[in-house]
Amino acid sequence: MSVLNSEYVLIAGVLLLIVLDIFRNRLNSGRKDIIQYATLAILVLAFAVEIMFGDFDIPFFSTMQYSQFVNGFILFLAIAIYSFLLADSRKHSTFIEFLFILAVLGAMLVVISSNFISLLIAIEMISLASYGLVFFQKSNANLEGAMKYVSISFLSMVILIFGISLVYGGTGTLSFGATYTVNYLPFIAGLSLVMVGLAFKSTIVPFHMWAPDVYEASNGAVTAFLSSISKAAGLIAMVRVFFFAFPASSAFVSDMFIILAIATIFFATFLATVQERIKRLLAYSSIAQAGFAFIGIALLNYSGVSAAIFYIFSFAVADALVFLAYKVFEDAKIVYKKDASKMWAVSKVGVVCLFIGVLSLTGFPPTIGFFGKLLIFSALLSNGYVYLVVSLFVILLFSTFFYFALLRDMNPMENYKSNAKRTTSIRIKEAILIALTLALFFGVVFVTF
Amino acid sequence: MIQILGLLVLPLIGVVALLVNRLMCLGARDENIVLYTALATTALLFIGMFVGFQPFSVMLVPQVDFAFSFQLNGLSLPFMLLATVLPILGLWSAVKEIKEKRNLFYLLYMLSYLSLIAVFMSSNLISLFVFWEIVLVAFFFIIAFWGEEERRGRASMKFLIFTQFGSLTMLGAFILMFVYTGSFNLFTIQSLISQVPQTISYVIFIFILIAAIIKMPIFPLHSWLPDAHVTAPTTGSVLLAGVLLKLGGYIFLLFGVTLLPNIAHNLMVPLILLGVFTVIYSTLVASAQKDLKRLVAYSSIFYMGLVFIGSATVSNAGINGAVLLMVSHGFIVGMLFVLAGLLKEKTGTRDITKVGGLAEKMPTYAMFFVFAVLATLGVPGLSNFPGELLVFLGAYSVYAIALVSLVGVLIATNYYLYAVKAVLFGALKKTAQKFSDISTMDAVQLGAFSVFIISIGILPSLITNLVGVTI
Repeated sequence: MSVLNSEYVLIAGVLLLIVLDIFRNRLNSGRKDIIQYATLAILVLAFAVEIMFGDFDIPFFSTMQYSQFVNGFILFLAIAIYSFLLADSRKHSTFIEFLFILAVLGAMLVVISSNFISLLIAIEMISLASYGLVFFQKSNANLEGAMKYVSISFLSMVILIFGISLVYGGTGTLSFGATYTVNYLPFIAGLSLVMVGLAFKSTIVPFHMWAPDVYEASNGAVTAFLSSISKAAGLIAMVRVFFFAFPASSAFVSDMFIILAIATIFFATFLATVQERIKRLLAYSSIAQAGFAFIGIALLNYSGVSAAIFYIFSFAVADALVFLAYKVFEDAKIVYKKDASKMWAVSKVGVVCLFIGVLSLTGFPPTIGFFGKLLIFSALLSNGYVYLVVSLFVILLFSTFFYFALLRDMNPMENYKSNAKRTTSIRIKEAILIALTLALFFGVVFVTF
Repeated sequence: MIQILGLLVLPLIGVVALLVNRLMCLGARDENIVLYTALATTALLFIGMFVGFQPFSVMLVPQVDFAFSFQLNGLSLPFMLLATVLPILGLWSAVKEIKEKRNLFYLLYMLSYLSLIAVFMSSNLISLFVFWEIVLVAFFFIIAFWGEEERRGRASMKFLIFTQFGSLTMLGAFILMFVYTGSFNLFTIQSLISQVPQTISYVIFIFILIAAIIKMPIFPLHSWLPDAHVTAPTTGSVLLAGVLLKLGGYIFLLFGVTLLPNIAHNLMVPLILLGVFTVIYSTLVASAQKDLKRLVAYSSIFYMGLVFIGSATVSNAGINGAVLLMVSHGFIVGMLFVLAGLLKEKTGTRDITKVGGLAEKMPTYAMFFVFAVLATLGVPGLSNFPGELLVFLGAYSVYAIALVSLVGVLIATNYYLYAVKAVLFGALKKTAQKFSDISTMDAVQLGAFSVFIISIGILPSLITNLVGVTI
């Protein structure tokens, strides 16, 4: 059964969708339902296949022990985000369906790629599809976000390709398989450029500046995709390159990465405390989360990387949850933090889900956010970084401050009547939010040291 | 033998009942649900004290050794007594004071009730931490939503930030213990603690110390407490001073003094001096307060300073005294906060310079007020006396300079008696003509506090027998 692979399912699915779309145009029926349901079915099928038949070796790409887990949660999030998108609006162009599947496929290929070219192609697949997704509603704000994203992404792609070419100069191969002990300066420069190129995707400071603008300009579901699946893919790509391909594990590289990670957490947390708009606040918090995951990768050893992979999972689910939940309130024109008390009138379930999602991002037990931080701290302490942990505690206090300021502003005391009607659409959205919230509690079964 | 999980299942039934009551609009009174489940829990605790508890354990996440395991350690029972009884005594203040979103308030109240009991009987450090954080979040919202309008935003955030830093350093200590012993189980750690290298033990001790200093609170990190107390509703203050501060003492005794006695012994002198300084400092600050609630808040820092001195002596007398003082202080400070709440309710102010001569109009109130002040000053026969005596005995035997803290007791006597004089005696202010005495329910509530204070005062062995820790 080695041909049954979730990536194949997605590729076949895209081809099927194209054929379906042609027939739909032939028949001149304006109905997009069939395409939309087919997309959902393809994602669900890929998820089922991934769970049942994950972990297979196929040529060119090779799988690692974690790939089934990572691909599994990417598909799970993809299903949640896509069904939310469907519940929200059915009027969008069928292009969005292709783009969404292709972006998810790209993220899954990043996880298993074992060659620089395949890694580059997979990352570009996410990027190219994401530009279209950001330009979702074809509004001016969408256009602005998409343009920002395109220009920054092209820059990062160029840097990445340049880095890869220098690495090729140093090693003579692009495959991850061999162990490299090259002491050649352009090669090291190339690796740093690869790092910069990947840092754009995973919003590591100082390469994060596109993220808040693009997140704010996009549709809520697309923001959820960018901040969870796309960012997770970027971080996993770093794991692939710096842990599996080049097990450098030199103290200097570790220290450099840790400095970047601390800078990310510190700046993003600090900027989040001064935000007035909820979505920008969540955007900066999502950057800080990436910094936390990166600190695990920076250790460049087994305990650090496995902690980082679990942390990526935990913040991806929580970020998807908070951005989707916020979409419900964004539709009701709740933009600023001071309006947060009106949320109760719009959707009580949404408020509770947002609450739990934010608790998980803050790292309060018993959510998986807590266990993610537990693993990161445990990895740091077992490697002797006591001072680093103490400074992280201090930064965490700032994040506790802004997260809880938001939670406190969602004060249920004030009576405010919303004129928004409770439609079926909002009920389906609430069901999706509840599913993601449950994942925040039951995801703990995937913890490993 | 009683299954120890019963102590959590009963409050959990209460939580579920409150939710069902809200969602299905049954119309039952929320405070009754809280009262009955809490009473049942207390009854179970008292039965269990005689027949013993059967430990419970279920492994949830074996990879990180996270289990819900509950088993009594030598310090659990006195604190569990406090955690089960005090919320019942404070309930009547909530019934009077909380007017809006009552259901949500009682839900948080019941959740923190459950979690406080669970913290004291958890034998897995992660499960201890889980419940510890639930208490923190619940109290943040109790202060932020039902506190005094003008300063609740700042006070609740200050409370959260300070105590969360303590929680994080405590978590750091737990992880270090796990890294070097391979287990989060309290009893496993106790048997393997000798494997931990000396420097790491110091780091663990310092981390636990920071958590304790914030939670108790002791001098440099105490400033969250007065704000939180003044802002919180009366019931919140009762629980905050009565049980939450004791979490700090419990952690310090359990993981600092009894787990790492050698390090506690090495650091004894600086810790005792810190405690002495806290005692003198807090009593001097309390002398300058006009707000009765703020005065009681600073004086509870004073008592926690004495507890800290007793714990830091690393002697049996000191530890027994510390535990006894914590339990008795829980009841006494709860009573004082209820009295402060009543003063605000009856006269509209808590400023002791603006009232006077209330003994004439409110004799029952005056009687309980004088009783509570005498109890807190350590009059023999009331509950603070044996605790203070043991603490001073322990301190004298190891480091006699600790007796400087007796000056603190003197200053405390001065400001409490001043408060009694200012509130109860002197000329009756003209505006006070219409004041009525406290109601029967108020008297019953204060009387219940008094029963515990008197019985611990007469028979301190009731509490000290529950302490099963020796150095």
